[in-house]
Amino acid sequence: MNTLWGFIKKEIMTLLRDPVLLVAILIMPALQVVILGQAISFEARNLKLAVDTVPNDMMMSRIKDHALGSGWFIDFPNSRQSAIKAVQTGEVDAAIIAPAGGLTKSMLRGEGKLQILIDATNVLKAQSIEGYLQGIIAHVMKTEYQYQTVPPLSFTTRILFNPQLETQWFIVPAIMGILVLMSILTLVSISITKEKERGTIETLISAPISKRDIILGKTLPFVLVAFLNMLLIQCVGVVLFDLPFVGSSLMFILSFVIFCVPACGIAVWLSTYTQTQQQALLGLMIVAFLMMMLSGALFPTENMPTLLRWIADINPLTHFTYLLRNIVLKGADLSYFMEKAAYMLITGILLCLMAVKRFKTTL
Amino acid sequence: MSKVEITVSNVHKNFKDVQALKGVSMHFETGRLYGIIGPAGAGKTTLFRLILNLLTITTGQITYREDGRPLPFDAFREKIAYMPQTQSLYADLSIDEHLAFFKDLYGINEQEYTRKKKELLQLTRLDKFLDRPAGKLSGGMYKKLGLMCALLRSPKVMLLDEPTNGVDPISRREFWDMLHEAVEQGILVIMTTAYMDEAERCGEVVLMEEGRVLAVGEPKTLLQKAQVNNFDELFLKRGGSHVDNG
Repeated sequence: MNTLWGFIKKEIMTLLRDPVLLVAILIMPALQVVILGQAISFEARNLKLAVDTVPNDMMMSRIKDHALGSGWFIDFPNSRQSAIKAVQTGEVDAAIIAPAGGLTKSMLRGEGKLQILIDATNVLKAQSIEGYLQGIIAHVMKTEYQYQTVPPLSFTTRILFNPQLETQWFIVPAIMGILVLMSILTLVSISITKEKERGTIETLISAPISKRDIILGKTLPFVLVAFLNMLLIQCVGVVLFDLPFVGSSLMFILSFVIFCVPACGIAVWLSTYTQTQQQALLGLMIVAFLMMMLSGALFPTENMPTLLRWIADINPLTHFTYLLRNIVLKGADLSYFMEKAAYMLITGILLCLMAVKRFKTTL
Repeated sequence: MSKVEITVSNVHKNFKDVQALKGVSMHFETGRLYGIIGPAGAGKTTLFRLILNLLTITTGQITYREDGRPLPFDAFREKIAYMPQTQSLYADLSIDEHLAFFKDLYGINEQEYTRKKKELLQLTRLDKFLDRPAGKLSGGMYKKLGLMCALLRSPKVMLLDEPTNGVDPISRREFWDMLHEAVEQGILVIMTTAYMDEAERCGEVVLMEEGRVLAVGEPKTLLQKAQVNNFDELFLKRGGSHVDNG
């Protein structure tokens, strides 16, 4: 126990001696949340809309008024010739084109065929535009012209837990998960390979100290750092984005502790393959990148091909991200927590076994 | 005072395509300062790493005894202190912090630690530099700190891999005084060196070249037998054109 404590003290001391590293691990994550929280937005806004019709088309101008009034769209004044072209050149994101003679007249004839053009280079954005426009048109038709069936769509979506669709609320727990993973991976594997590179590992493994103590001594200090990171990010989320905290703090901490098992396992396992810090950095970049992309933290895993979805299901970061979102935004119930915790523990124990088996106490 | 022995019998060690040790045998026991002398590439470091179980033996055997009883390595390990050849201290940690870390690492109790620390600091005269980080120590001071860390837990055996390499002559003399002090305290000291002149300061030398033992014995006897004045000549006479290759 004393040995382990001495080890942890030494790791923390060396960490404190390195001001650059200290800034990198404590300040950078907070900055990242601030920047990414603002920048990564799944919600489309400020969309440029062209409305193309004949003069005095009342219905079209009502639709346009509503679209601009919604706050999602901004106006793009144009003539018939340029509407299609404007979409093609990317001057506008969407255009509504009325049938010949205007929408009002053709609706009276009973054949309202509206053409909607959407720039779909960004699929996510296009999907939102489609949804917005259909909603707006249906609304105008229904409330102002009493058309119940044209267009025959009715939206009954109720948005739960994040009624304002605040994307920052959704992204902050994801960034939290990613940064916990990144800080553990980086610090642990760098600190182990540093000992190899400097030759100090020879002193360590020739000392009468168990493999367990070396591994724990090399991971626990950084688990602590990662925990500080997570708290910091939560604080930034609360202060900057009014992020709620619905769930229990105990669950929050426990899920972190459990996630550290697979994270440390991967870090130690990785470092058994690397001899230099550069190798370690490259290795962990590949692993961390894959884990991030296939975790549902940034992209939903539901749209992925089956094979990738399987990988995502094994990925402990997936479960950690879902669990964090659930705890922070919904206040996860115990059975949900147990399920996710079990996934993380199983992969974690397997990874740790692999790591310990490969971790040599010979040169 | 207990007596420890290490016996190396016909040990071979092969790396992928290099035969580092080609059947070496030797015996070490408490009360003497052993010097393993040989040019670079003789297999000195490999031999140490095998004794410390940091590498596995290809064929042959190393046995460890305490007061005549054989001990398995795991039980023997805690009696050995090792000072590797490569820089093996933490550049960011000060002398004081190193001692504190090794205290915890070796599980030395507080009382023993305070006594030992004072004694070692006096011996090495490093007490004025307690707060200086290891990365900023001179070559000689660095080696002395390494020795202090090794001596901190009163080992029965000390393995020093080229401890005087790159150390100035005055520090080297001080270093040797410390080693002789350790032998008087009943520690079995085994060191390697590529400096031939240091061989004469050892109680017993093992001459190694290209993975083989050339000769074992007291320095004076060995020189007389070969009818040479010093070890440089001895190596040259044995056809050791490799002396200068190092």
